[in-house]
Amino acid sequence: MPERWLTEMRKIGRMEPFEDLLERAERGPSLPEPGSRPATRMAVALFAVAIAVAGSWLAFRALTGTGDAQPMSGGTADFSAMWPETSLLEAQQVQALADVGDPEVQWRTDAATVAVRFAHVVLGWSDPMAGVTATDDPDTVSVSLHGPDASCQGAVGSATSANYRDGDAPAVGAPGRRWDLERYCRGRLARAKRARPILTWARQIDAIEGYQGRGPLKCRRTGPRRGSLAIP
Amino acid sequence: MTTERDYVALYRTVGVALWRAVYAYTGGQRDLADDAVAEAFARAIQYDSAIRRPEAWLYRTAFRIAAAELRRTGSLAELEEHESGEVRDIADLRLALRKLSPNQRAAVYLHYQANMPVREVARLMGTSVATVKVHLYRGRRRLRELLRTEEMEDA
Repeated sequence: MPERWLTEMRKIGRMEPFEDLLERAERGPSLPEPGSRPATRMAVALFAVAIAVAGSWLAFRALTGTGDAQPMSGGTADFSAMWPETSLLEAQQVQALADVGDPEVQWRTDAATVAVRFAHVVLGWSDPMAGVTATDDPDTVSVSLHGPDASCQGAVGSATSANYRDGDAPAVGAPGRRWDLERYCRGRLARAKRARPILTWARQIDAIEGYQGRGPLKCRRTGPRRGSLAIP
Repeated sequence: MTTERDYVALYRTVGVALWRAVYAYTGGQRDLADDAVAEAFARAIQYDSAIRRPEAWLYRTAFRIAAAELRRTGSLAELEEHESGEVRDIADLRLALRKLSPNQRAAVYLHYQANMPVREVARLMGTSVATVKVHLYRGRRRLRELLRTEEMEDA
């Protein structure tokens, strides 16, 4: 004798739908797709991954100074017009002025001056100083910028000794020495590789603007900044 | 609508068996089984030639639709008071089925009532053979407990 649950299950085999469901089906779907919610979640996840990948890539480009290649006509593909010029046409115009010895653009032929102007105009530093170091590439230099942090006034007096150069920390309650709190920035400058006697340095210093020193920072740390400077 | 497949013949072959499986899956909710099966056929007609194995596709789709409706309604509906004598006849079974999970109900029905091999049940439910075996083991054990208790109480 079969078990009761098996006997009961057989009762389902005698049941049938009351109506012809195919007639209903021929009128078309009427319920929301059951897969729509997981599909939406999947799309959101993929979008988030894409954003993360794009953000990482942009951050890498900003920190390494690669990308943004816009080759100058007649030259190589190594030149990138980013700052002060934002287009190939602007870079060509400035180069043409430098070639004829226009004094207005002579500052463009000196990497340190370009870097200082960048710090002054784009970063808004009041009294920047630049250090230029040669690299393996004769058309690329490494630039470091530092200068007093005018935006941190008021924070200087309460800063810890970590914000000051060694041995210069003031006594607690003593007036702060503003020049001790420096901002720091580094990046690279590149110029077009062309057979010209004088070449303009035209590459934005794209690096994180931060602060030198150890310990907690009292001022805001900014990310990569870019800007454009009108040709004087 | 012009379709490549003969859905009238397909419904005659599969429709009622599918409806019974979904009826078991939903714990004996006739309206829900009607909706799920009709909707599965409607989507099959819509996608038509894109579906390679319509029978398995219909089962999986109908189960998915029924599962979505079960989630949406939140809980199983109370047994209707205006049911026919036929439905009242299986009231005990329905109450017992509702103590199982939807997948356990469907697996038990397809294997023990529709006499499908485990591999076929797995294919129609869109799951693995091992998973179906677990559903069968647990579902069978639970039904045996529930309906044996009922039997003893009746006695």
